[in-house]
Amino acid sequence: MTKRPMVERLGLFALVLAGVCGAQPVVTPTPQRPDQIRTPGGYLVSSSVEAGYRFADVAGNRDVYRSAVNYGNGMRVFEAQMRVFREDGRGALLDELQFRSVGATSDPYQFSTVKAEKFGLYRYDMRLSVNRYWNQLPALWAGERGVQAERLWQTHDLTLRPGSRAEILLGYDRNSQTGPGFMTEGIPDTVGAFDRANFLRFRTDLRRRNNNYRAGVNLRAAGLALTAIQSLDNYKEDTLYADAGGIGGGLQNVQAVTSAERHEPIHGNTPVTTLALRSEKERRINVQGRFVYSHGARNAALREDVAAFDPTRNLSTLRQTFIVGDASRAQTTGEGTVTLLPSVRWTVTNTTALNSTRIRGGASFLEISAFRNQYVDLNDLDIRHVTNATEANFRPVQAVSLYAAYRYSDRRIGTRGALEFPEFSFEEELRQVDNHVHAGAGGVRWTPGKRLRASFDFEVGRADRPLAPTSSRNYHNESGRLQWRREGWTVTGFFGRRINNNPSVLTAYSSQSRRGGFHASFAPPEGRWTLDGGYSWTHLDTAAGVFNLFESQQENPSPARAYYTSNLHTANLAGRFKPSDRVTLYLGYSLAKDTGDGRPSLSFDNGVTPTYPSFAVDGSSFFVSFPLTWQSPQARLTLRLNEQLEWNAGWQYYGYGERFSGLQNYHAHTGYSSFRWTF
Amino acid sequence: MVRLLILSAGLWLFATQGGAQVQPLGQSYSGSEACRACHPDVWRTFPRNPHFQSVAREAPPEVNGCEGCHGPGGLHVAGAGDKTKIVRFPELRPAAVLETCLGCHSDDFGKMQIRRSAHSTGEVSCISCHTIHGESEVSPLLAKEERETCYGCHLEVRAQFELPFKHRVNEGAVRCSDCHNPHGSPTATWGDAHSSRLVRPAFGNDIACTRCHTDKRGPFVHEHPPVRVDGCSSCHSVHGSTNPRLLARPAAFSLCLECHNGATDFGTRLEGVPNPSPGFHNLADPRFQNCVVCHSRIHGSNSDALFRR
Repeated sequence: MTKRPMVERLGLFALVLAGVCGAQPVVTPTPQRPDQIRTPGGYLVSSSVEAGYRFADVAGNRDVYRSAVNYGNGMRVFEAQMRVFREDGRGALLDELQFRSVGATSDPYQFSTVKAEKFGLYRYDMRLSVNRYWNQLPALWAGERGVQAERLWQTHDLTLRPGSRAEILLGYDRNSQTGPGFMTEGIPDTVGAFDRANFLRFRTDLRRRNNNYRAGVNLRAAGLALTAIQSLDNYKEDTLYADAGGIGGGLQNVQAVTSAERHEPIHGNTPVTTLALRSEKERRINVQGRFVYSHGARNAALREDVAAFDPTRNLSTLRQTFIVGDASRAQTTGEGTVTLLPSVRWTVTNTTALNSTRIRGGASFLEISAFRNQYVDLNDLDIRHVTNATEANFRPVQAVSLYAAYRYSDRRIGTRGALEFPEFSFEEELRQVDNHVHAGAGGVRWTPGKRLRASFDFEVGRADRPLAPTSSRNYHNESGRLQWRREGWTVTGFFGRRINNNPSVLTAYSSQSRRGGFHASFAPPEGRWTLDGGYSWTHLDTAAGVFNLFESQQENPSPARAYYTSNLHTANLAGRFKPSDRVTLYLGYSLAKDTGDGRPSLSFDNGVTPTYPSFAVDGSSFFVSFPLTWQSPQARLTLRLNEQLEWNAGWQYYGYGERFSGLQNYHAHTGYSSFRWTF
Repeated sequence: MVRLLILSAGLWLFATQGGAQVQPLGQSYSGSEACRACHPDVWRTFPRNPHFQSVAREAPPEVNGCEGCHGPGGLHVAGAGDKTKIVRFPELRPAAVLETCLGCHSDDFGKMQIRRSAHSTGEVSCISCHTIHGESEVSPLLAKEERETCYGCHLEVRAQFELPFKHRVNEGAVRCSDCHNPHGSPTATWGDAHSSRLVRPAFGNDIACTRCHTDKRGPFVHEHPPVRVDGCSSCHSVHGSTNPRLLARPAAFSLCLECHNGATDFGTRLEGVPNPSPGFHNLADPRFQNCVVCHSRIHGSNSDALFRR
């Protein structure tokens, strides 16, 4: 991305705004459907291509820009689409073919879809998605980590004899993640020269891929439908962690690591069996059941060589680590639902589900340096869920519908472990913890006419043994929604609140989130212009009990309270104008602003100096808040040159600013110019 | 015995009766060509909609063409377009719309839970999202781009995807339906199993996020229990966040310390979620303010019980 002078940037902005403009966020292609239709061989064919040049001009922290936006310069095929359709359904091998591709060639976010169908014979769906991103950990001292990754995800589904009483289902998915990166990592142990204050620095070569193969049938007979699918999931990771060179802690009294290398291949398969049975047609009593069994396994091996200078012996020490581990997870899920439809006013469902997860892991550890360390580590984690939910819908009058539910679940967590050293071993006995959740929910929907629609929902729940202090224990939610439509107007409003209290001695946790907002749009019948805009807010307050680990070297730190406050406001406004048949202009603006806890500056009035940009310590209270502003105005112009050709231009600005620290701030002008050819 | 047989027969008759299906309003079928004469606006795009195949194929009238869904139109035609003599979907209860559509579309087992889904109980029917007559470039016949369809009601989610760090839904790399099944989801195998939020399980019964984030799926020799027990949202705001990596807190250590405080009521053995050894983890030293610098395999590790490699 090259830096452009301000005059050029302003000029481009003025050019775009002065033109007249287009539609939708700039990051997406021009939202036009090809309306040029040809009819070769009895098929309706329409197609279009939009191609052009995209630019990005970034100032400030480019790493954060690449993490959050990541558009760059270059030629692009913004969109290509084609549709072939045979309306009489009498094509030899094809009745419909749809293809659409967005962002192909060089955009960081791309997807392509293909649908091909011969009615009654086959249907094929494909989706290919590419996501290129720069993923960096927040910049902290000695904690750098980043990866320039590309995730490529493709899914293929083929249905033979669709719509028949015996459909055959075939599918294949591939998910890969590759890319170079770097990372630092603290040394896990303190032995001789290998001090935990030291760090390993690696360059990494990320290589992960996952293949999923599946085959199944859909059978329909006697009013019932049965689905059976068998799939096999294969995972393979061969990421290389190589010596990044120049390794050294840079700390006093810490000996520099002189070389480091790690290989950690992880391979495994997960076969999954799925059976599903349900009522095909609606009856007064409908039943459905589902059974899924999967058995995942992962085999891993780790070899790590680390060399450091040991001043106590005045020589370099090599530490070699070998770990061989394997883990398995057997997961069984069964679920049955009965739906009663005693009259047109009532719907009652009861669902019972059982889920059992049994994870078994074992690793053999061998480390050879000045000392030899060897042991076998065994771990079991079992999770069992039994759930029952009864839900009822009742419509006393046409305009009102009532909803009520009672849900119960029992979750049992079991753990067991063992460590076996050459000379001795010890074992943790099986311990089980049960968590029971009782929850009631209800709601009312009111639709007095076509124009108005309102709903209110609530849920109250109690759990007795949640896993973590932040888990749901005594909670309740309320939410409401109101929508009004009339002659081009749509106005929607919502509110919601969730409160969770997790009382405990010393470490009571409570959180409260409140949110609300509205959205309005207006589209007059003549279609020459539309306006829409909205505003929403989310207030989140949490108070958690922590221990004050800021008390340097205290073996028994005092308890403290940690407060997190977020006051997030988001707004967007957009207008589309069509002053003539040839010209379309789109203008938009979006804003996200977190005002934090209201502190105007990083420091408190008492002069306390925070040690982290979003963090302040005042006595035994920690305050976490992260005020920032993120805004993005945009403009787009579409000029129709003739029946088949359009010219488009767009501009979008991204501005990111944190209040307490400017280290991660950036702003960027992005834009493009393109032609769309419809043929 | 006779009573039992009568009772069983009665129950069977009750159970096999249709519930809320649309009832035909007329006795005679007029054929789709009759509809075309008065509804040219519908017919302009209808041939490019896959539902048109029901017109094109030769099938009984009750499952063929316009009257396959709208019911017999004889009285409607005889009444010169009397709107009260034809099934008009905007006038129907959402449950009736649903049952009409399920008449053909019940073969997909992704719709197993549709009658108890949050959308159905919320009176959202098929035609709220899908275009039945119009031409749609968006499979499966959505009236608008998928995200715009969802944003129409879920305003708070729209706002979450406009935050600085988010899944790339607005950019097209991720779709709402990659993680959610709008037709209803089965009971979750994580969390308290209740608040499904229409989340689509990955691989049949796994946490939804592992469908893409396969490296977090495991199994691992050392599992980080909240990942498997409570799910990814324990630490992440999964739609969007003001914090990098979609974390729920801006500082990694404050996120970790909220659970790792040693309170004895919690944890997998009710012995507390261990708090960091205080003599070593001095947070006044910036080195220890980012826990994952050392505990780098925080989602699970095959090598170290403290997730350090």
